[in-house]
Amino acid sequence: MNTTRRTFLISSGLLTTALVSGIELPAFAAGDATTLRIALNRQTGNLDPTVYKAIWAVQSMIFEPLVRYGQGGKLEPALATSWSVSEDGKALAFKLREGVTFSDGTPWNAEALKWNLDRWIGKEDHSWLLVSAAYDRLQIVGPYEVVLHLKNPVPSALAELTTVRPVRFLSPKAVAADGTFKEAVGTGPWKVVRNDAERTELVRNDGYWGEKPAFEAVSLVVIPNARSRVDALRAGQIDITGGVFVAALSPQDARTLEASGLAVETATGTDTLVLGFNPERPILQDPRVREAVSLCLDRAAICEKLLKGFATPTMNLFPSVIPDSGRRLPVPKRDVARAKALLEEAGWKGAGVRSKDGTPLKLELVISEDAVAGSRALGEVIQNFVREAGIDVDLRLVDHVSRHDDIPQLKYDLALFITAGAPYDPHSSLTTYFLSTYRTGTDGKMFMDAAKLDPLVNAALTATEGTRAAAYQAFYDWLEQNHAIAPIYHATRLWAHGKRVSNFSIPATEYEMPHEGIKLVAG
Amino acid sequence: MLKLVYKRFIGAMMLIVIASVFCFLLIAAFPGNVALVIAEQRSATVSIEIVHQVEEEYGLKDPILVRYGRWLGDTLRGDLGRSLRTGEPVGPALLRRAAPTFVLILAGATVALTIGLGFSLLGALWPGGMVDRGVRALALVGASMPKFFIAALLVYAFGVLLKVLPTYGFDGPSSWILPALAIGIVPGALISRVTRVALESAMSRPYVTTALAKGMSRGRILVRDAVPNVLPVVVNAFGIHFAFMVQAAIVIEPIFAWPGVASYFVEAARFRDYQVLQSSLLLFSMFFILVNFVVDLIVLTIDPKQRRPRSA
Amino acid sequence: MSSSEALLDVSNLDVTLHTERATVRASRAVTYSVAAGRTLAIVGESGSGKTILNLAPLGLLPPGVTADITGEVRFDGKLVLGDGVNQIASHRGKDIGVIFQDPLSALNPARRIGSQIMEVAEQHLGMTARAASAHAAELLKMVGIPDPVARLSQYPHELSGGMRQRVVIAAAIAAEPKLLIADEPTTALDVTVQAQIISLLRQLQKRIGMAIVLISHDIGVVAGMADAIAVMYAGAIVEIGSADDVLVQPSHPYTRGLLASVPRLDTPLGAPFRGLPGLPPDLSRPLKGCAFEERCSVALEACGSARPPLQPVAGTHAAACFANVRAALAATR
Repeated sequence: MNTTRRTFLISSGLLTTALVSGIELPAFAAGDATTLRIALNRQTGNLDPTVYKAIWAVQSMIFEPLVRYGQGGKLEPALATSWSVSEDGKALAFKLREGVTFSDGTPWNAEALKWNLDRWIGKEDHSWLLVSAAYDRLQIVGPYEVVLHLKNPVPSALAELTTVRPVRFLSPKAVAADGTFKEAVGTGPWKVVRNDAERTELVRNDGYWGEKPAFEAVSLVVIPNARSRVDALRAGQIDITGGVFVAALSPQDARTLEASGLAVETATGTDTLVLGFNPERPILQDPRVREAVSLCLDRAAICEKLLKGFATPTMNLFPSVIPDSGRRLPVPKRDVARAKALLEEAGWKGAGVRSKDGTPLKLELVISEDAVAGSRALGEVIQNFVREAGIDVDLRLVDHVSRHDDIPQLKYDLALFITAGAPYDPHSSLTTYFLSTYRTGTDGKMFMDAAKLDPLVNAALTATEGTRAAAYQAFYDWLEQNHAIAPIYHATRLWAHGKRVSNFSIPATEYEMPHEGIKLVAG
Repeated sequence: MLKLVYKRFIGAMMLIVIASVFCFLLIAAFPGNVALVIAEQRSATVSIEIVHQVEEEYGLKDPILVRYGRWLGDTLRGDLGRSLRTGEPVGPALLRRAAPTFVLILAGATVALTIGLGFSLLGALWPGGMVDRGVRALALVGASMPKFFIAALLVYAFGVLLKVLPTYGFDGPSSWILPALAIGIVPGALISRVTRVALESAMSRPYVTTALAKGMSRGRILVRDAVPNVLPVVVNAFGIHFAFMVQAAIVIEPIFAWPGVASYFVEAARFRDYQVLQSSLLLFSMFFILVNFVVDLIVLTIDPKQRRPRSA
Repeated sequence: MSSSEALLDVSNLDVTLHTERATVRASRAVTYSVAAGRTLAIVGESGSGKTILNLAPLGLLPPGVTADITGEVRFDGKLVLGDGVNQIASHRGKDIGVIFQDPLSALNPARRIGSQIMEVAEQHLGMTARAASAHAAELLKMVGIPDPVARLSQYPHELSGGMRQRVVIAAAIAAEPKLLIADEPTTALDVTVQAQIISLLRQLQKRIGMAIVLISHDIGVVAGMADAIAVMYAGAIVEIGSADDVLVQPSHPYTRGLLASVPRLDTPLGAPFRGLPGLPPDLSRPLKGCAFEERCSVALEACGSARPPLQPVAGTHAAACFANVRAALAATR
């Protein structure tokens, strides 16, 4: 016994000594000029471009598309130097960039392209991409020239090909003998050297065909806690944090960082927060009720108070940075009197909560913090706004998975949606949120009307270059006239960086990581 | 004595079996469709067909008893399945992530024990003195502060203001300090309060008068006479706080971005990664039960009356 | 009775105790002395102040109690208390050993017997752990514990009450003190064991040559051992003298009462005094006259208004009683 007690005492003593003696205080807070440190809110995960697991922005640093989505949706050459779409819209011809190799030395050519397409195109799991659903065959014209044949025209095909997965290109040598993914080897400016629960480390691909980064390495560190990311940036232990899908920066945190002298970079959001009405609910089938709800909302106040000014009030489905996003609509002032008048007109009467034929004007708003950050507070604000007009809104808080159960089954009256954003919009949100014939397992509908809306959606989705803008405008006009949705705001895209970083620019989409053009100094 | 140990061991084993049932049911009974989570990773937009296909593949529509049996069998064979979110095998991931959590809990325990014993001894050495009163007040404040708040204070002071310690990461001893303090201060304060009261009561016992009459100094009496008598109290208090450090790790690990079991659990909980949840929950329960068992054993051995009953 | 050869010389010792609730004058103007190798028994009821009188100067008061001590104490010819000096505590364990009433609570239940004895030898005799261990075994043998080496590693709960008291004694004499204060050393023990302990103390006294202050409420226990007896009542000595004088010619009515109440074989164990009616006075209140007046059968009128001083009866025998002094004076006339 005596020995056990003594052993315990001695070993705990040793442990303490080890702890104390192990403490050295190196200048770890200062970063060297060769490594850019960016925070991730979770582990990057499996980088296989055909698996929907990894953080998009990390994949985008390694893998490249044929065409890039530039600012404002302008298409830019990447692994294809030029492209053309046939008259009937069913053939896409690409000239491939010559002299490009994957970072393992494998050459990039028509063969590598075909190998990659074969992994996903035309397969059931990836049919959500219209280009995959319409895929017919690939014609190899030469080692650097291919034509993609489609069964029907897909006007959004090129935009779809700019996305991250599953369309980007993996080295055909980066898989095991049975074809399963082995390592993340692409043609991009960065190569993976480490990818685990703590961090993903990338080093510069010195054989990169494009403009090479000015620094040697990027360390993507996993810091799940938002507060900790802010502290780490303030402590100078990371250089960059932000991005909706990378390590979202809340408006409050952005203001805190600003106040402590760090640079907060902003860009107009590419997505829209929309209050959607369940089109199957009888109460909500009356456009006057929908308009009344929309009129009750003080969009400017929501942007100012809830989002600390990091949002733009809107009545449009898409912000203007999205191609074919239509005419800008004026954002009305909150008008409760008009809302009340509309409800009276629609037959909803009485003091307090209005009612009609004994039915009270009660609606349920489904809220999921996981799906829309900050939506709980927003829900409460909406609840208060509409109460003044005699509408009683109940909030139902659900988690990520429950939302995915309830929303597709239309088990709600009101719900908050966020449009897909660049590079998927406008086509993706139209398909997902408005087309009654397209049902998914995860997303619900902002609005549906098989008879009147579906033809407009289909017309917009299939319109060719010349008629496209008008076709989309017709769709937007219908939404406006019918008060089908209540868009609220475009959230500002937020990134923050430390003093070591200069020449920072926010990439065109939330699916890409800011690294291009950045200059780094030691500090 | 051996019989008692044997009885406690059987008890602990039974608790683990019960815990396994709870771990399984708790996770399996979660609302929401797990198949959706899996299906989401196959395709950016999930069709109903893919969901049904996943349910089929994973046997999610089987009766719950069948699923429990399958899970228990796999677990006993050491196959903890694959994470639904990342696709990596859960067993090796848990093993790899056990190291940071182990370090966190051990370092936190060292802090707790140092604070708990150190402060209570200082207080008992000069009862009612400045140190005693200061430590009591600190213990009260410390014990009533939430851990995330302590962590935030520490990070702000040592990371943001002084810039002397890393605010995140599991990167060698200097990165252990803040998390260890954050997790250890509160239990340390609580242990010091309990120990201080026990020491005070021990120091008023007749055997202390005897020791004084033998010419022993107060400090020596405190260490040699009072401490052995309060050891069971300290070990019990320490054991409880030690076991609860797993719970605290769930708060602390994400704050300091430690790739431990607790942050694995938190991440898995967000994404309803039930393979990970069930296994890590079982691991936590086993740790909890094991710590309690060990504490029982230690208390048994440090109390001479239990260890050596007179009849023996 | 004070003499130059006295080992312990206490004069005019006043102890006032302060607790949070009350202030008690536990002893007043107490004077006595003990010569080396001799035994003084201090006898009195519980609460008479006999224990406090001895433990307070040693600094062995219960926690939460403080004491004002005035008077003088000389130990081994040196002034250790009084005149701004208070050094008795430094003699604890080394020159002065103490034995307590309850051997179970006096021993630390969480420590082995051996270490509780050894630490005295290590501290005061500068012995190494090994030497102290051998010494402790020897002590255990000396106090009559069989198989001493094995006992060293045992815990108090593994021993009987008598054995425990022998262990307490062994620890108290481990540094061969010059003075042993034995505070009710037999009270918590069986009658048969009581006699064994008393006889052990006598043997040890002979062997080591130490003086003993034996504190007891039981005049019967001290009768066989004491060289001198001091009887205390309400914080003051009411009679003092050689054992023969006090036992044979008790001069204070309280002493007489004590002697009459010596339990016989048929009295239940541990029973308090028999034969003395009433209770001792509350020491936290001031007293005008003789403290024993209320319980005294021979009280005079003067006893209610003045405190009788300690006055010689014959030789070193003195008593504090008006009635007795008159009787003695009458006898000599």
